[in-house]
Amino acid sequence: MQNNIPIDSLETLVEEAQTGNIPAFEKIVRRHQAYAFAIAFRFMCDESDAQDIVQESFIRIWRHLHEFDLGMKFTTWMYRIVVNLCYDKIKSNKRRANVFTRSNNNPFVENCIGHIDLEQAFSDKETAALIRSLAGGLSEKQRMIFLLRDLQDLSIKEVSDITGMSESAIKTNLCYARERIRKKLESLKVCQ
Amino acid sequence: MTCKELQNLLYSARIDEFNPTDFEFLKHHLAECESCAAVFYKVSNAERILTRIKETVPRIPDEEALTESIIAAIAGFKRQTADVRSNTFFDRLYDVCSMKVVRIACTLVFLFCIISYMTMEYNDAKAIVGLEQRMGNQSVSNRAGVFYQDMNILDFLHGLYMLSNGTISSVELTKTLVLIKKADLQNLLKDYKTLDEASKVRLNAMYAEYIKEEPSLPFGSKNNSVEAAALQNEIKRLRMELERSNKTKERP
Ligand SMILES: [Zn+2]
Repeated sequence: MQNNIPIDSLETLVEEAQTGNIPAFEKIVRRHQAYAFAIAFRFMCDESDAQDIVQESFIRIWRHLHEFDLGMKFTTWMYRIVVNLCYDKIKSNKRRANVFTRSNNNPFVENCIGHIDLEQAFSDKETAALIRSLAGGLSEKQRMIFLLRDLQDLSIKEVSDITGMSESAIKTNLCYARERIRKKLESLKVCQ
Repeated sequence: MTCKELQNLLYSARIDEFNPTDFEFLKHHLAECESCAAVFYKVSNAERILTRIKETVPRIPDEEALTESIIAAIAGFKRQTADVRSNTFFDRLYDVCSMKVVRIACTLVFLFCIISYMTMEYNDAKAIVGLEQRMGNQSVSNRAGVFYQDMNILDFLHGLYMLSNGTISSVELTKTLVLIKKADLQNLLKDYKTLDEASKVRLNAMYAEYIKEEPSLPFGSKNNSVEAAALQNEIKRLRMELERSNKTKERP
């Protein structure tokens, strides 16, 4: 099915979807759901929560597509929606009190304290456990900024557009987050 | 740049974010400073782990299923809403209400109302306490008179004046006083017939003192207005009527 999708420009697809064209919107979903999932997963550290957020994000995008300004970057708008839903989910998630503390008992993270093997690929679960462990102690905003800048490789300007924070506030929070995370990583021994 | 500054920079910035000057300094400094070289080594190891985390892009377990569920949800939504725009009023309302600015504004308005209300209550309480203090050396009946029918008119008017924060004029006060006296006398005449003899005697004694007071005297405004003068004439008439009715009662 994916092979049948012609290469359309994102602008054309968005314009078509704005008129209520579902197939055009489906192409947008197929093209971007993986990015949306990556952010949501890295933030929530939970596969099922991340899938819920992706689904909810695209439903929200569809419902508000007529408000989307074509002069704006679509991915920035999409990321913003995903990020806001992540915050909402964290707030409403009853388990949130445990999300960033349960890592303490995670066997993978405990193993990491012994050594970490960079020759071996991480599984998604291991990555989630690591991020959860590293991000413990950071505020949600700091975690999100670190994730968008250092894991998703977005520019400071894009991070600012997505989070609505000033660039200087982002730099300050980023410095703090990086310092904490790097110091935590020092305690992990790396096998070479 | 000092070693401390460089080490802080190593922890908080990525090497690709170093400006050319700092990068040149780093290159030369690492060769000659063991302490900074050790930090650089630690940070590099940390960066390698982060790079590995970055490379591990999380994958949706079943992309096709997720796309299908999104499209199914949207198709259902579209069926419900032939005109998306007209049906998103509550969505828009929800969005507006979830805006931080709106939430803060509502909180501020709420706080403003609460504070205004409390301030009003506080001022009233203060005025009443002031009044109580002023009347502290007066009889209980005079103090209570502010709130009771057999009040001392002057205290009542003073209270009225205090509570109005001095905004009430002497003309208004005089008019109020005259109106009260008139109403009192009218009520007295109306009720007089229904009272027993003992009550009539007591009431007469009470009002004999009461009606002696000239309403406008305390404010020196006898000729304040035509209206006040007319009311005073009315009072005189009522007083005489009362006295007449008292005399006729006494005779038999
Ligand atoms: Zn040094």
